Amino acid sequence: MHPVIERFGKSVVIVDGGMGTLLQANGLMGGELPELWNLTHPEVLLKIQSDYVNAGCDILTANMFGANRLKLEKTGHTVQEVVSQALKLAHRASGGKAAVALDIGPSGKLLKPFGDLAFDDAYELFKEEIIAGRDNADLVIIETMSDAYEAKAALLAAKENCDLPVIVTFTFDSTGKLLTGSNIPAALLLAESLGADAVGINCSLGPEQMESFVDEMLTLTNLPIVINPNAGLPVSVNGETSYPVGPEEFYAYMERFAEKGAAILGGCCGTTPEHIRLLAERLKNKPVKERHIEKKTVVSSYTHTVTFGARPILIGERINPTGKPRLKQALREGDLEYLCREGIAQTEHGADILDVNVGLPELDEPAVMEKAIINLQSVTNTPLQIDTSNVEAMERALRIYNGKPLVNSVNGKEESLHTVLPLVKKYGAAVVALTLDEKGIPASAAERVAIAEKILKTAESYGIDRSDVIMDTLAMTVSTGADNAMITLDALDTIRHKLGVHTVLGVSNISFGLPRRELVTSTFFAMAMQRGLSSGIINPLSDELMKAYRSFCALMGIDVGCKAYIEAYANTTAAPDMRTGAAQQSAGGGSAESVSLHRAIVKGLREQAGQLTDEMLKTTPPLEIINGELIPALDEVGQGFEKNTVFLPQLLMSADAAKEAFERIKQNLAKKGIQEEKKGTIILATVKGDIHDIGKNIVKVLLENYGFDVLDLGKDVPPEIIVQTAIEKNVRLVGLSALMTTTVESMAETIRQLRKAHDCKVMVGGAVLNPEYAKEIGADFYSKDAMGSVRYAEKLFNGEV
Amino acid sequence: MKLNEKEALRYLGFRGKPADADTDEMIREIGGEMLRTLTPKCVYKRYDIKVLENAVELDGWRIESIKLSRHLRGCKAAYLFAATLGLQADMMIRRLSALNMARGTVAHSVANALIEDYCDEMQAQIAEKEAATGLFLKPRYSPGYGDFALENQKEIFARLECAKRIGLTLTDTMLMVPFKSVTAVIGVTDAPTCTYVKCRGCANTDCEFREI
Repeated sequence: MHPVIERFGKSVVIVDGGMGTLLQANGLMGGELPELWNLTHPEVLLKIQSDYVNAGCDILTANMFGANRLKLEKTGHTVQEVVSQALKLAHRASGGKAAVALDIGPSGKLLKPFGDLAFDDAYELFKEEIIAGRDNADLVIIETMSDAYEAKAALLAAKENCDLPVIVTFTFDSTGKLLTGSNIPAALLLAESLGADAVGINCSLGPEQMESFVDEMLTLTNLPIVINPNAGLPVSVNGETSYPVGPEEFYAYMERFAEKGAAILGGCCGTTPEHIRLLAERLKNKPVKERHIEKKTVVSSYTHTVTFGARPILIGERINPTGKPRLKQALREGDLEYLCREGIAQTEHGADILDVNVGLPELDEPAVMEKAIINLQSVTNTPLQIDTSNVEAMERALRIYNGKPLVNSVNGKEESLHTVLPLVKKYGAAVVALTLDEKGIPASAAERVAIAEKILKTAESYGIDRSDVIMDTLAMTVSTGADNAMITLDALDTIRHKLGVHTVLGVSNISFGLPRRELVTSTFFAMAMQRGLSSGIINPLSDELMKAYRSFCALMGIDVGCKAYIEAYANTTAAPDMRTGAAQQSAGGGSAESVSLHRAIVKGLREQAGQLTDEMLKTTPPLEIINGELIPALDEVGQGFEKNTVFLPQLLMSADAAKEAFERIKQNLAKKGIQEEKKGTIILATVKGDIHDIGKNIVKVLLENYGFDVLDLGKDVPPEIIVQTAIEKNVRLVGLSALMTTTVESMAETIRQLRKAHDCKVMVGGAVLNPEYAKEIGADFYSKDAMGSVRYAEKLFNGEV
Repeated sequence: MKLNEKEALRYLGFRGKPADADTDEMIREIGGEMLRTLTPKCVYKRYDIKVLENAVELDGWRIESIKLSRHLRGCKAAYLFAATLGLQADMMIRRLSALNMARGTVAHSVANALIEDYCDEMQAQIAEKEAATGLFLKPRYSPGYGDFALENQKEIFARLECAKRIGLTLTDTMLMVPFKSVTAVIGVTDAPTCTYVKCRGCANTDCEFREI
């Protein structure tokens, strides 16, 4: 290990300063890759880097910020070539005086599900850079990260492919957020949990704008804190960009940061060897102020952290197919939208974390789990709890999860301990630990506590801090054992207060087999919170439970001024609706009774449509509801849309109301185990290369309402997948969407491949298309709007086309 | 940045007709949330340019586009400009769409109206600076308009360092992510008036969203 590394966190270490800005001063053109100057202008690189070494920096960063395959593509140079040369020059400039860092900047792409770079592909890019340079570097610096997810890919690539120490620095904007929305605690937590050796901030801001962030960072972690500011905010003078903060002014801030406890100091854009010289002369080797940050139990999503301790944390239990026929059906059909709606609904009702369990014996659980995590994280920023006993699914989910994950669960069995805990350690997760072992669930509190102790000991032997273990003392149904609740609570109390570990319970198990379960469950929940329950796995849509929770928080002084309680219950009298937790909606006026289902749909009254459907289902067969109410109502609105008297938002409000009605019918059928009848199967996809899916999604909602079975293949779908699905499911109609001129070509390619392989009709839509263009690329039908596709599908399946 | 509700309605296909109360309410509500939570960002840089017959030269880059060269006729300088509402806008649209397509669609349109307004505001700031030396700005001209090919996005992105500066990225197919983003060339001219209006310059006269 290089001696500089041993000083991390003990005495101040100085990093070099800006490179890009100095290269520009030496003639680097706009749009030109600075990394190629290693090959074309080695003398310039040597000069700048020698200046930094002579200025006294401890760490010299190789000029390879963007030396990844994506950026070097079409330059005629390989990653290996550029990285090797960058490190060679840095070593030559260093002459053994400074440690040389393999430097990893962002890919320049946004990761899926928002952008088009898959997490695994980002990992591969970084892995290639690390392998290319790992034998010639003293450490790795992952820097200028404005997406925590990308930082995760880079950190995993570093950890899995080299033994070098790793520094991670993020770029926050002036509001203290990454460009992808993470706040400072979430970004730092992610890097720390994955084993970074130092964390911090660089670029975008000057030292003045960073000051408050430095203070915050110093309270969040015991890791050495790195501060590499720009020389102020760029200003434009006569068309040239310059950075206004000179060496002395820069130093004045950096000195303060060092006094506060920052351990590794350097500069970014606009800083020069002169800036670094002052830092080195006056701060280098000074002892770093000691800090003792207490370890907390924290998990995170890609935007924020959830910390255990201040108040009981609510973990939504509803994404779990056990006893839920409708969710089972959705999982079997690959209907992840349903899963997402369940997730959002729980979040809106107060869930802090969402449990995700997709285990069904007939499913490929690792694949479904991965999709579920990605889809949920694209619609909600609530942290997720990965709930599975399938080790492969667990690892897959841990890997692609964006944030610090929570795993449910490990238990006291040897096999579980030694398969789950290594994964928890590797991916920096927190874990729920069940107090059971090979002998089952102990019948006494003392034995459960003993198992908890054993689990903690084993976790610590794997290097997992006890703050990352959350103990579940297992709520057992009270109807089968009078002591069950008390055993669980006694164990819970001891673990929380004697072992000092946070706790969790699957609260609702307690009432299994009893009538009006929520009475017992909510009382138990309150009792458990009183005894030290840190988090409950509960149904946040249950009013009884939420009442217990909010009352508890008010009574314990956690909800100061009873603010949350009043917000939830002021102006409510009767028990709110059980399913939604909301009071009866009055939007649009009129009570549920006064409106027919037909009217509710025409008016776009979603809640009412749902309630009225439930009512009707008691007396009317589903098919009659569909043909007598839903379809005529949709037709009325659809015709209005075609005549320009109804506009898109109203059409969609009606569609959403109808969707709600269909949802109730589906639930009704799923409960009875009846398969619904469909008019025909249609594939919908946004073509390869295109990621705009609003048009496709609108068409989908309408087609489904009209009774078609829609296979939604998503966006950016390769032609091969569309062809293969069309053949496998013998689909007669394929709907394709493309937004841009650049992606219509892949629409044409998809049609060509379909024509060769399968007999079906193709309808197309998208902003740049028109009937002529559609014909030219071989489509059967151009749909100018969503209703057009419904009309065409109806004609086709009625045999009129 | 402020919300121009009429613009949002135009994107929703109302073609100048008044909206119903529910749509109005949704626009205001979602617009309010976006205005509260989004932090739009932009980056721009001024370049000397040379306008040729069928192309424009800018910073060693030759842009082949008859329409653009016509648009920039008489300009000696131009700005490359990029702006984005940020990824939070995409996230919010996805969340709203997952629950309710009507709200999702309104969110799309509201975001479109917001990014246009934000660009107008930023452009007004640049215009103010230029006015000090007696110069004026032309309307924004973006890749994808006329024969100004989308592939030119790459050059703009490289020069402005869009990913690093404002978190704006390009897909392999030249689509921008975050979605609600704008890139453009803005000409600098000494002629005070300019008759160019975006929709009037477009050949697609049948477009549903054409400004009336």
